[in-house]
Amino acid sequence: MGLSHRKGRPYFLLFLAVFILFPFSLFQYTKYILFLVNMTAIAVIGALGLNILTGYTGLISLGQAGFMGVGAYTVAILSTKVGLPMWINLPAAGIITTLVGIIVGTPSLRLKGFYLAMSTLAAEFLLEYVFKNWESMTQGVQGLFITPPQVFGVHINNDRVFYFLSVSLAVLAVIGTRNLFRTNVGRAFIAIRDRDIAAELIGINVFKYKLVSFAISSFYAGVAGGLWCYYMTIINPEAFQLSISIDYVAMIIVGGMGTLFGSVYGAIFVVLLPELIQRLMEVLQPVLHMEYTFAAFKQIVFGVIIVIFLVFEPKGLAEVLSRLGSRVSNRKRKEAVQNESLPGTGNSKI
Amino acid sequence: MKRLVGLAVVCLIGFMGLGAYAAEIPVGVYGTLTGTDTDVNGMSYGPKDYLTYINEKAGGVMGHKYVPVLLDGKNQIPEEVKVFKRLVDVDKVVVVNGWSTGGTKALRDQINTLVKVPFQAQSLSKDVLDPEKYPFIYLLGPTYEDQVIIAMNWAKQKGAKTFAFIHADIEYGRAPCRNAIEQKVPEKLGLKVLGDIEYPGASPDLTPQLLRIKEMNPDYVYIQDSVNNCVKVLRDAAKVGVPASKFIGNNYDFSHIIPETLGKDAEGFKAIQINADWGENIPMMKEIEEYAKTHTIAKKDTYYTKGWVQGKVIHEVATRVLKKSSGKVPEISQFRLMFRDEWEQLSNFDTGGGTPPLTYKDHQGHTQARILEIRGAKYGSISDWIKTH
Amino acid sequence: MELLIQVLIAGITIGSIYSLIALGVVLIFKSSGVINFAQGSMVMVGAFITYALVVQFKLPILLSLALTFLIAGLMGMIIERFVLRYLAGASLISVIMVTMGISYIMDGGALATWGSSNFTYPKLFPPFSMQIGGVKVSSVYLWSFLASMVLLVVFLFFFKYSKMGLSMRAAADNQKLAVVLGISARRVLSLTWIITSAVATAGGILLASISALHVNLSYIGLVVFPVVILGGLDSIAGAVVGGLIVGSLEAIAGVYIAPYLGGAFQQVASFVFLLIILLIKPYGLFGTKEIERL
Repeated sequence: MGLSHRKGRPYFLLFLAVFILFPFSLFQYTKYILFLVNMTAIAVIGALGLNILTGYTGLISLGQAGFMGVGAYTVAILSTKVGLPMWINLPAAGIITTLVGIIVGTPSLRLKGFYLAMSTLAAEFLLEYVFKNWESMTQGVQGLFITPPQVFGVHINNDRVFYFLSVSLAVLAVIGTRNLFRTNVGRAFIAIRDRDIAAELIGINVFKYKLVSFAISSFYAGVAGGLWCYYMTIINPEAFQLSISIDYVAMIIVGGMGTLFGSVYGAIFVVLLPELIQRLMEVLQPVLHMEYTFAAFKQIVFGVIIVIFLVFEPKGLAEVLSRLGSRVSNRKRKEAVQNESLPGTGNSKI
Repeated sequence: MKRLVGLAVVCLIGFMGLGAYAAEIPVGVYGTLTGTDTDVNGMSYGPKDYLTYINEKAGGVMGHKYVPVLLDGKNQIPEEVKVFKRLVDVDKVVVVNGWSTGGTKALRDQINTLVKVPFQAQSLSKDVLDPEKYPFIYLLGPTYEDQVIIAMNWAKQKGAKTFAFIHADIEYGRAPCRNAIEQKVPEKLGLKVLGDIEYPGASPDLTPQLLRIKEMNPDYVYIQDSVNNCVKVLRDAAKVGVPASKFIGNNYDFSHIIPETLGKDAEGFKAIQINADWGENIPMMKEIEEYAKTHTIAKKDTYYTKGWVQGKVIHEVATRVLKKSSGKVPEISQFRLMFRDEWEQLSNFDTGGGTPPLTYKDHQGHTQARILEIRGAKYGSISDWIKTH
Repeated sequence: MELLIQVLIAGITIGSIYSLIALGVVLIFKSSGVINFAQGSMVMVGAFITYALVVQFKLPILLSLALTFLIAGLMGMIIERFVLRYLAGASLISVIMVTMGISYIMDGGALATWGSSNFTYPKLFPPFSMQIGGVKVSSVYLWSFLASMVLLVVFLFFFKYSKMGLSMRAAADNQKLAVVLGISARRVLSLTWIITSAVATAGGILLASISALHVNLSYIGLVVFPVVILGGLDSIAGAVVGGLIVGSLEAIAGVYIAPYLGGAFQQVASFVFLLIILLIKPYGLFGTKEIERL
């Protein structure tokens, strides 16, 4: 990541300290902030998954919410009906979702572009339908409740405890993704996105790797869904609708498709933006006066931001931030060069 | 890495700065301001407006002003959970006026065990009404299941032999019908349920379902859904020749939009009323009119009046608590506990005609309903206030 | 048998409205390769503008309709000029998301302006209705059917024979080459969006006339995608035929299959059918196969 260990260490330690100590602070807003961080962490995992599929492999998916739903229901069913503990359930959620992902992925692989998007849309509706109607398993629209497991005597859905779990998993997911794209598998994905016919020609088994991409992406989605289930303690089909899938696509677009931190930035952005708007509106409330109007404004602002990003900055926040970053480090480099000027020539500024 | 930290810190700081309330008596309200079933969200504006009205008229309660906070739950459980946490942790509200069945269920642990905050739900589902398991949850009127029973009783009186249900494929639609069937209500009354028909809530066309109803030919059909879809049901019923007089809707089907939109296709349709309509000649309406002189009212309908009643209840309970604490605002967790206790003891509370007198011993304000029928494009009552139990 | 006929009639009547809306999506695609996820919102906003002019500003009906189409056309032009123009040649997902963003803006704007209640739509159509096979078909559906058929014929001729239509197809096929041939891609694009916006508005007025007016009308934008796929993204005839087929399919599923598979199967039915079609014919029933070159 471009930092030499010596320079980066104090920041890293600071970060670690904040990370560990923050949940114990007595600050008034702590619990609420923890809640937001938890939601963001879950979103990061889901967004990473979608980015692998759409950003890196170029397969448009509108079904991310449905896959998260599979993960969530898996956890719920395994907890309530079979009584398995969390450390089995979460990975199981990932695995079952992977299987579903492969099933959904297979027929879709003959399809390209828009048609693929449509088939994932169909999958999304179908999954929602299954959740609502496979009542023996999912209890239909009533939803499933779970009693959250306990860790050292505290419920897992306590904001603080969950925070450690979710953020750790999110960090693991980021590292995992970074490593994925240093391997052949990851590079195959990128090749497929850029020119799949050419990729086939140089010997990449496009079909197989597309499926692998679906599989990995679904695994992430399943784990994210499982975490969601543990945090919310109640899940029902309404939580996994198309609008959530679209939120995830917005995350990777705003964050930066095909970039590692794009998923993170995008997730933070999409989760936090409504909150910021809400606060802003409340501050302006005495002037504006109409509540439902600012509920509508949130929607408008969200739409405007998406459009603005796509028109002006299609590479997303990752690009913006890295440009800012390189501008700062360029300046530093320039200064360093100036300060190293040869003796006798004085400090000439370029 | 650096950038990530920086970004995170900026976000967190940005947060902390904005808007904390130097609260007097904060009250939290959330409802569906955007999303589905917004047609009945007058019930969320009602409490907020009433408390504002009291602030202006009487300076709050014993000199302490209310700070009503109205947020959007979007009728989505995760959003409602988020909003609830915000109200309870950040704004430190005394009482929460919630919305959906699903959301209330999701928050049951928070409301009753973890946080312990009194909660008034708009949901009228039996599943959240349990004074022992859920001591902090209160409902205003007869549950959907109660309403189904009332409708069936009425149908029986009219000599009906067969019955059917039609509703959307969501919890709000399925659960009450299912509960009624499970409790063997139709059997006890001697009615045969011919079918339980579902439709997708967002579908623009319900003709297939109405064709099935036509084939079944029940004496009466109960619509367990709100205004928006009720209009579609009746519209398509007229299309295939099923008269509107066969249909009975729940309390969320009592809206002037129905006769306005459908004209004579709505004649004979019946709905259930559990609180006063907008514009009725009652003392409470005078209050609303007074408020309307200086404020715009978001929704002028029977759901707004329901909300107004809820606001009244909150104010009454808060007043009693403050009387007990000699006019001082208690510390927040204490305040919530006292609020809950006073609420349970509220009995025969007069709402100025908005509803029958409210008694909250069983956490259910009242259990009366009236059946209305559309005649000549207006709703008129065809029964007295019936008690369900 | 009688039930089946009634079901089919029901399906065709709602299908004719799907056809109209799908037509708009196909138009945009045919002329610019853009897939418009904002069609539903355009439908809804068009309906609301008419409502505003007729009910709120109390203008005479014909004048309101004329003005609405004008405003809708303007809206289409603005969308093209300020947004889509910058996305020429962008990736598919960017285009999809930008139209979704536009859809959010329009939905939010309508919500902010008119609020979230159900509105009674003014009676723009004569109240007569026909009894066809035991189903009372009101004049709205007849108009809708007529409108779809007329537009079908008009656009078929337009794209096949008229200079502007051919220019549009050329521009969609290969923009650079079209410019070389003297076709102003920009003008073509503007015109397309104006026409689509107008078609969407017509769809909106019809849709709102058969049910109440509410900001949720924009959901129809998603429901018509199976229609578009069925008929093929670039086939106008396909859109019209597809609309009728999907409408009938949903009706049949709603009446015959739903009792076994539960509840709201009709909504998924069209998507299931969509999946089956895509498995057999990955480019839709009437669509043209995209030939990719390296």
